[in-house]
This record gives sequence, C-alpha cells and structure tokens, in this order.
Amino acid sequence: MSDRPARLGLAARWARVKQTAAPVAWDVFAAEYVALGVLYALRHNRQGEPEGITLDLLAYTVLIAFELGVLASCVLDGVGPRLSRTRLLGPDGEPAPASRRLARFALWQVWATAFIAAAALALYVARLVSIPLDVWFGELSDEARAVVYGLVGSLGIALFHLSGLLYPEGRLPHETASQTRFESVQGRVAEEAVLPWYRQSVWWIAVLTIAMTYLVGWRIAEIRLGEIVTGMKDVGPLASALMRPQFGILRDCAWAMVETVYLALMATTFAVPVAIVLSFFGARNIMPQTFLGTTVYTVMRAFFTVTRSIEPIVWAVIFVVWVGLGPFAGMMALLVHSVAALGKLYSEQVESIAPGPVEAVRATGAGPVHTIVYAVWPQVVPPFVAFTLYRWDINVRMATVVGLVGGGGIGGLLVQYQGMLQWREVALIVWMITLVVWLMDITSARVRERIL
Amino acid sequence: MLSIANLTKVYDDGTRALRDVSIDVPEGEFVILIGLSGSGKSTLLRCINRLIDPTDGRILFDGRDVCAAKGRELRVIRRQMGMIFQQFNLVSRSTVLRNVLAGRLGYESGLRSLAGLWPRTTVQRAYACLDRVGIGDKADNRAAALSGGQQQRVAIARALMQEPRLFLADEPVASLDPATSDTVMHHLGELNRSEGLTVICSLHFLSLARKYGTRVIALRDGKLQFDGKPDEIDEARFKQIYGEEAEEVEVR
Repeated sequence: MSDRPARLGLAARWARVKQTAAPVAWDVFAAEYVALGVLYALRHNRQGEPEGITLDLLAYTVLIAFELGVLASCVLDGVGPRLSRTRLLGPDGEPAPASRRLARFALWQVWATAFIAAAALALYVARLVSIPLDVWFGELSDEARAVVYGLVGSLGIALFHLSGLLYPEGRLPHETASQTRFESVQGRVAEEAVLPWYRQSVWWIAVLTIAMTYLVGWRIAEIRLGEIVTGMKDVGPLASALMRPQFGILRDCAWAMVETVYLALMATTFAVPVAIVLSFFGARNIMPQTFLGTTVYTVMRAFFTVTRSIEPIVWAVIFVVWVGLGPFAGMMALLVHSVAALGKLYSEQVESIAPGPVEAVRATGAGPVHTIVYAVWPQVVPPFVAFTLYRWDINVRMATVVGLVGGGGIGGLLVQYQGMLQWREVALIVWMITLVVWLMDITSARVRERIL
Repeated sequence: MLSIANLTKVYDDGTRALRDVSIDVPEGEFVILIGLSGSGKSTLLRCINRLIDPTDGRILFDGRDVCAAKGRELRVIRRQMGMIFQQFNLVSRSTVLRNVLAGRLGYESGLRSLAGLWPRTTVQRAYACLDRVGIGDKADNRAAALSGGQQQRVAIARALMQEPRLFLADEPVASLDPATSDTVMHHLGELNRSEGLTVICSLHFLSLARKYGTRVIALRDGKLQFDGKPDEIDEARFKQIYGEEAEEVEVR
C-alpha cells in the first residue's frame, strides 16, 4: 500500500462518479414514485383528481422520500445497487458493516448540504447570481418558490456528485471518510448467500412499486367495470345499424376509399428513397468513426426517434394547418412518419449486415460509395423490401386515421356521418375499411413470404 | 518491396495487438505468418493495407508511405494488394461474376461500374480469372451456392482482378478441410512461383508452412518471435512460439 493514492485520469474518475451516483439515483426514483403514489391514494377526491394535495404536503413528501431513497440505497442494499450491479463495500473489500453504512448516510447529508450552501454563497458573493431577498420572501408565489427550491436542490445534488471529478481518486469526501464505496460486483452476486425473497429489501421495494402503480392507475384511468354491463343497452341501435349498412352512399364511400389507398401508396413510395439515403447516415458501421461521422449518426438517429414518436395523426394536424385541408396534408403526414419509421428499420438492417464482404471490397481499393453498392446493398435489399411492404400496410390503416382530422380519404367521411349520428352510413364505411385493410394484410403477407 | 518498421497497434480498449514489429519482405517471397490466435497476425495483415490504422510505426510499399496515404492515393495502394480471408467474405447473395468484378473497383471507380455496366474486356478478364482457379463454369451461380473451397477460389479470383503485386491471406484455409486446404494453398503457391507474386499468408498448420513457405515469421503477444526458414522450426522453437504446453499436430 502506498500512502499517497494515485491520481486517476478523467475517464476513470467519471466512471467512479457514475458508480457512486447510479445506485442512489435508482432508489431515490423508486422512493419518490411510491411516496407520490401514497400521497395520491390518501388525498384524491371522488373524481380521482389530486385535489387535497397542497404544495406543503407535496414538498414534505418529496423530501422525506428522497431521504428514504438514499437510506435504502446505502443502508439496506436496495433496488439501486441491484440494478446498477454494485454493492457497498467497506475498507476490507467485504460488504460494509451497518455502522459504516450509517456513517456514510450521515456524512452524505453533511457534505451535500455544505456543498450546496457553499456553492450558493460563492455564487452570491461573486455576484454571478442576484438573489433579491425581499422578492424571494415576499412576492414569490408558493408554486414558484417550490420550483426554485426543487431546482436548486436537485441541481446542487447533481453538482455535488459531479464534484467527485475534482478529487484525485474520483471519490467524494463522505465516501473517503466512511471508508465505503459502491463497487461493481459483476459475477460476484452468485457467490453471496441468498436470503429468502421476503428478507431482501429489493423485493419489498419492487412489490411496493408495482402495487402502487396498479392502485393509482386504477383510479386515474377511472375504471368502472359496472358500466360495461349497464351501458350495454345504448349499444343496441349501433349494433343493429352495423348489420344494415346504408348502401346509398356506396359511390362516395368507394371513391373515398380509393383516395385513401392512393394516399398511402404515394406516401410510401416517396418515403422509401428518402429513407434509404438517410438510413446509411444513421448506420454506425457505415459512418466513419470521426467526430463528424459520429455527430451525423447521432443527429440522424435522434431525428428518426423524435419524428417517429410523433404519431401520424399529430403530423396530420400540423400539415392541415400548413398546406390546408385535404388528401395532400394526409399524405405529407404519412410521408414524414414513414421516412422516420423506415429510416430507423433500414439503418438497423444496415448495421446488422455481415462486415466481412464490406472489408473485402474496401480492400480492393473501392471508394466508399462503390463499397456500399457492391458489399452493403445486396445484403439489405430483401429486408428493405419486406419492411417497405409492411409499412405500406400500416400506411393504409393510418390513412383512414389521418382522415379523421382533415387529412382526406375515408376517415373524413367517417367523422362526417358519425357527427350526424347516421349510424347506417357509418356502418358501410366501417365495413369498407375492414374489407380493404383485410385484403391489404393478406396480399402484403403473401408477397413478403415470397421475398424472404 | 514491403518494409515494415516499428509497427505498433493499440486498440481503443487498450489491447496491444502489435508491439514494435519490423519486417522487410523482398519481392517474390512466400511468407508464412504463424502464432497463437490473438497474437496479432490478422492485425498485422490489416495494417499493411490499412483496413486498420496502425498506432505507430511506418509501412513502406514500393517506397510509398502506406500509413500517410489518404483517399485516392490509399485506394491505389490497396488495389495492388489482393486480400483473401478465413470466411472468404464474398457477398453471398450476389453472383460469382459480380463478386469477382468487385475486385476491379479500385481501377474503375466511375458511374458505369456503380451501375454494374462493366466494359467487355473487364468481364472477359473476370472469366479468365475464374478459369485460372478452375471454376469458370460457376460464374452465374450465387456465391452462397458454392462450397467452401470454391468460395475461397472465387475470393482468389476477385483478388486476381486487382492485378496485385502483393497477396495478403488471413488464415485462408482455417475453415476448409485438409484436401481443399491444399488446393487453395496450391493456387497461392502457383501464383507465387509463376508470376513472382509476393505472398504473406497466416496459417495454423506447420506442415503447410513447410510445404509452401519460403520464410516463416512468428508473432507472440504482438511481438516478433521468430523470423527464418521453415525448416529451422524445431521442437524448441515451436514451444517458444506456441507456449510450453503445445504439441504439434500433424495433418497428414
């Protein structure tokens, strides 16, 4: 043992900072979640609204849960250490004894509080932030003050943990003083004696979390099973209308259906070339491992994820405002969503190709574009075709949905007749949609089978 | 012709694959590269044509600095070095002919080859290369439909399209049966003798090394362990290269 610890590189310190913070973060999240659930369960009104929760109550709950979370992670070996695969070890490399754990907990409070106070004071003295004290205690609303306290607290704690980077070993004072540390126990868990599940805190927290989710979820979703039976009499007319569709609007209905199918077709075919080109920029194995290459890759993937997470119906709302009501808005909505969805699927396919042929073609002296065309392209064509057909299938179904908000096609017709409560006309439209979607489904499945 | 000086490669995860390796390879040699798996053979071969960028050291090919080459210059260097691999690395869904034509991409890098419109002379050359390795009749098959030995011969034909001066072979027979291995090695030996092609080939079987090699280079933990004639490898040397516990297995 040398008396002076070796200075670690920044990357190693960062790894330690993460290792210290991750177990606590998990448990704090779990504790906050359960505590807020309990608060809701105790204080909601008959409509399921969180009416009885005052700001004071909320603040105390959050604070207490926070402390409990920290306690759970470092004293009880809670969910956090399990999820981040670490254990709190003492100076001898064995699981830390209870006294040291409590010391760590107490010292954490002291150091974190001191750090936040010192940081706030330093900023104030350096006049980097101005804290108008009269406004602070006088005019600030309770809500605003709560937000500020929350921000200062969480930012302060985050900064406190980040300050571990400044110590030569990447360890915070409360860790050094209590001589405890979270260490990765990859593979060591199995060696430890396994307690029955009801004696492991991790199970208690898991059970609590899940129970709370369903308890609260049941109230929030306003689930009333009785309505299913008592409400049945209202569906009667609807059901009988469904059996007697009004064929008078067959011509309009068929035309709207044609519009829908073409809308989906246009969106799919225009999306494919765009998605193909973009997908290569979103494939890790194609982009060069340089700063620029990685940036383009990350931006591309983020674009796919964000664009895809916005549903076509939301895009339709946007495009109706942008280009006006009608099929064009619907097509644009499907197009944008398809580019993102196909781009993601395509680029994952590009990433999963065999790397050998690419290496071999590069070795012949081929340029990057030729390498893609000769070594990558042949490998990805079949999955690309399959995904495209699948997407075309989805787009036909989605085309009826974008119609609901003015994106053209049969969805518009459906909303129109539903609004006038003309259920027999609605019935014809629903049957029509069912038939077409069913046919599309079968056809594309058949074609996919042939190709793959 | 090829001069490697103080070549070092450290991977991003800290693995030191090559440590200060220096080798000179004159024209016309058949160099066999031996060593345990993970001793740096593949890394060395891939540094020579820059599929992997070395961390330190210098590689001169015909007096040109390989390590400093970029873009077009690097591609011109690469096209003079044919390479074949343990897993053949053919595009299995493409035809044999298209795979072989890909060997010409270092020369014909325009839009025509991108669209697959190859000049008649190039296509004829591709057939000739396939004939040379004895599978001229397989040109229209999918590469995946061929046996392992046939696939490796397609790979040789692809490399021949480059009109290479140096042949890099990364364990070319490790996934083949002994008889097919000998056929493939025979083709390499033939090219070496009749055209004076320089070959650097990594192998696991010393019997093949003795049969075809004019020189053996051994790596251990990324360091040069032995450099000499194939018949100089006796029991003691063998243990030096492969470790004390190793016994030589004789195939045939």
